[in-house]
Amino acid sequence: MSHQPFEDWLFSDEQLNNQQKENMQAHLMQCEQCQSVANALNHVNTTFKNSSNPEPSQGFTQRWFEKLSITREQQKIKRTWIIILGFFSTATIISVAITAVNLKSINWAYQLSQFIASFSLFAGKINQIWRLGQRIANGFPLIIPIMIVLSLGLFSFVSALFVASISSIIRIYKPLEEGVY
Amino acid sequence: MNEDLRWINQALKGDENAFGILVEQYQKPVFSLCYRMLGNAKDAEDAAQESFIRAYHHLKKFDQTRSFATWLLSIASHYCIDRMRKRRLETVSMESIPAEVITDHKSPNPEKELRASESEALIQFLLDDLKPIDRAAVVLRYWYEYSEVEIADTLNLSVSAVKSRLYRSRRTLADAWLSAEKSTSIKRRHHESPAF
Repeated sequence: MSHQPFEDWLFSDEQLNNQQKENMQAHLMQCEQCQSVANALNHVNTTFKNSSNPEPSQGFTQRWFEKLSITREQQKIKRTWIIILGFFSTATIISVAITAVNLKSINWAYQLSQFIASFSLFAGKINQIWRLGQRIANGFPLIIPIMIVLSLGLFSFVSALFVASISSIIRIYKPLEEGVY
Repeated sequence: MNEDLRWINQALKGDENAFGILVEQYQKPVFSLCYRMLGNAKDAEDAAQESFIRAYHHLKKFDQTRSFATWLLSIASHYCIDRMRKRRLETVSMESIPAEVITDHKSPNPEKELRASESEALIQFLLDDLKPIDRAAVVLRYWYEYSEVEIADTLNLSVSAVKSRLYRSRRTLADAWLSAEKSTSIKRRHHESPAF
């Protein structure tokens, strides 16, 4: 049995004319499926109509004022972060621009030789420090585990600081849900 | 309406208390919409508060030729739709939903309260199957008696989109009702004592 157009009439909001109403009644008398859908829709309508409107608890406006002042504080913090980040971003951009301009006037061969020379000097210094370290370790063997523990502690502290600062930035800049205003 | 505009213009000049009067006036419809959308009082309170905060911060963008109530409900609907999309994966059981709000244990008429609570659970069960935008359209249609044009205006949809969403929603609601009816009759059959 075809349920059209009766099914469409049941689910749409349009007013039926007298002829359509009669046809619908005739169809509902014969079709059990459409009859059960029509009954279900009637029950849904009645349930919705008879329901009471939920209301907020007392003091809603007072709580709104409190929330407004908290939001203001958060916005102040956000603005401060924007200024700080803006300052550092501008400084970075300016530094990169100055460096880029200066790079054009560099004598590359001279700079490379200077770099190699300073690297050799640096490697020599490292070598000296390494030998000094070996001499200390020979005289005082416990220095190695102490240094490892201290390094790990310092590394954990710096990592924790880094994670905390990144998470606070993410929290502040968490985008708000889109809405239509 | 004119009274609203008076408070709106005062709020635009920086008078928070003027907006507070609007909050007092519209708290019920906004809260009720959020409750029907989110299904519990705690989330509804948060969403209603946030909707008023957003309205206050964007008051300059309010077109004073439009209805303030429609604009507020539009903000609240969009906020609730976003929230629902975020928590879409969470499953909420029918029993756990609204008893906390509606049932007042100090009530002089506990039977009436229980019936209200059951009715609320049923409403939430029916609405739970709807997609967020469809649910908003249904809430505006049934509880606010908005026309299709008004719903389209509130939800930023075309009128034909609203029609097709309401059509689809009615089908889903009817299916949900029939499945609830079926499961209730099965439960009843299980609980009935056998006739000897």
